[in-house]
Amino acid sequence: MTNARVTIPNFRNWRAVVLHRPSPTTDAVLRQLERLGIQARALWPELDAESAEADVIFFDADMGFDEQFPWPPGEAPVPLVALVGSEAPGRLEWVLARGAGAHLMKPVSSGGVYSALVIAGHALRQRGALAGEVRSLRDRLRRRPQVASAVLRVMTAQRIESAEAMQRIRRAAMEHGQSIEDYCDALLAAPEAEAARAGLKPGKP
Amino acid sequence: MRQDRQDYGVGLLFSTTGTYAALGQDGLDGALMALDEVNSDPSLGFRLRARIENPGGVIERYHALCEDMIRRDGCRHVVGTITSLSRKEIIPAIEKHDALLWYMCPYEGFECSDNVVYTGACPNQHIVPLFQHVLPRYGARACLVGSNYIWGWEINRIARALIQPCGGEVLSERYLPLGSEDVGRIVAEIAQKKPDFILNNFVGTTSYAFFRAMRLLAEQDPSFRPEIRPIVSCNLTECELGLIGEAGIGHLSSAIWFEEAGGPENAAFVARAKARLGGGRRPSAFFTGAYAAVRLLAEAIREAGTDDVAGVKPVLTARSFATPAGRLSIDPRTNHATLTPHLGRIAEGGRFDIIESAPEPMAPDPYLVHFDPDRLAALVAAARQAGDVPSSAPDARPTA
Repeated sequence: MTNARVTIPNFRNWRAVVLHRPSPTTDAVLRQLERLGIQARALWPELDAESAEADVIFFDADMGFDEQFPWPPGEAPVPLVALVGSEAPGRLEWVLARGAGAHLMKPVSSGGVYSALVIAGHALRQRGALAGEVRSLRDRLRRRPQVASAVLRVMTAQRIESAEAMQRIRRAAMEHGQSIEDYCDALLAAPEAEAARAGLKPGKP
Repeated sequence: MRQDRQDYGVGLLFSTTGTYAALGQDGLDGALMALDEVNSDPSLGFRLRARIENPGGVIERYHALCEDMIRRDGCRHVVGTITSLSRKEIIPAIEKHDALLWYMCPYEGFECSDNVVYTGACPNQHIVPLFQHVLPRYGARACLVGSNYIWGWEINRIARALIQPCGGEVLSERYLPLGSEDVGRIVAEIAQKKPDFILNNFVGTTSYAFFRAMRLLAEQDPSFRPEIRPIVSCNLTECELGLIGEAGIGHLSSAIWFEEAGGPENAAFVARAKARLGGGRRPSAFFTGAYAAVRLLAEAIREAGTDDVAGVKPVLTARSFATPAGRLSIDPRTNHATLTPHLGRIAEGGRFDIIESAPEPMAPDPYLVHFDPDRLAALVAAARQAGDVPSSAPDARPTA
């Protein structure tokens, strides 16, 4: 069996909120959460102050509304699981806008909560990791002009081709334990003469 | 004796032919022994009527046979299925009709249907105690093998999760289709990897072929003898030892019941079972589990005054029941049983020597919520420090 190893977390001592009216579905979700060692509470219609501490929120996709959540759509800091009854497109649109990472169809009985938890948790982690990566790529993109200027300066000072200049910069950045962008900033900030002489030894900015 | 005793249908769904027939036969025989005892007890105001079906180990047959038992024969209770594949196959039918499945095999956990009573061991009651015994004594470098379906996949996944925090290593993880006896390449790989132990999750005929091939390997290379590199299993019982023969001797298995476990009541039960089975056959945990399930069902019907699932379930979780394996109680949160795991070493004559037993019955933890991997890691680290665990260099160990 091929198996990309994703670690399945243990949910012991997690706290969960089930944002749903009292119903057999609410009871079933609470019961399943308890089996997983999760402390779970049902609330409706509003989250309380303590909910900010929750590790996961199950919410009603049928009767839910934006004002229930203390954060903007799509920016939930915890995994969200939608409890879906009506599959009306408008409701699903709203579920997606809230940023649900998984869903369960109502009525909920014995199964589904565990996989929803695993999948929603994974989706949130993955989204966080991707957002971090996008942030860092955007930052590098923004600083590309400085890198180009630094390459030019090294080309001129050392009388070498651009590829060679880039390679030296990369190597020097690595030796200094800096990112290429930080290294280039420092290089450009150093006095011209010194930078030209040292070529690849910028002073600390 | 009243002639108009109420009659309740009970489905007995066991594959008594096919690749894991030995297990199914033991399950059916245990259930029938309990059924006969119940039906010959005049103090009970009802009889149990068995509807027996044999899917022959063919997965596609389970669902329809189960539906039939419930719809045509009015069975509200079904005892049976051996493999997790077949259990998962019939649960939708059981849930749809709000029937109750009595499942009595060790399984991989991570399931909790409100319409299933799980009287077999879940992972904290089989592989965890097994590994707590094996890892500190033999080492934590393992080869994992299994039949290619959910039982093997999940038990091996759990094994990996237990081995890694101990600083151990999974040297290989291999699967064969149910029924395959093509174990040659896997055994060759094990011969080359020289693990500290082999976790066997093969089922039925594959398992027997594997033991025989490993026995041949041990004859060529004594460092593969069971006292040095044991094959350890979570589901091997007396009912298969005859099929494995000499090749099984010395290897280890976990079970919630072995013949020697328990006191005089167990001994009396064993004597009754042997007399019934005849031909030198010994009961196993599958036999005992199915027997206990049917006896439990009868007790619950008696107390509830109905076989209605809504009436029976509260009785089951309200108190504990006497079984050959000791007092059994069902956890109302998970529908799983509190059980006492034992570790057995296969001995001559188709039986196990019990080498370790849990000091007290263990509550079920089907999602391994309360398992602490650091505790196992500490046990292994302590054994390593004391020099009990073989060096990680496989060739540095003594040969027998």
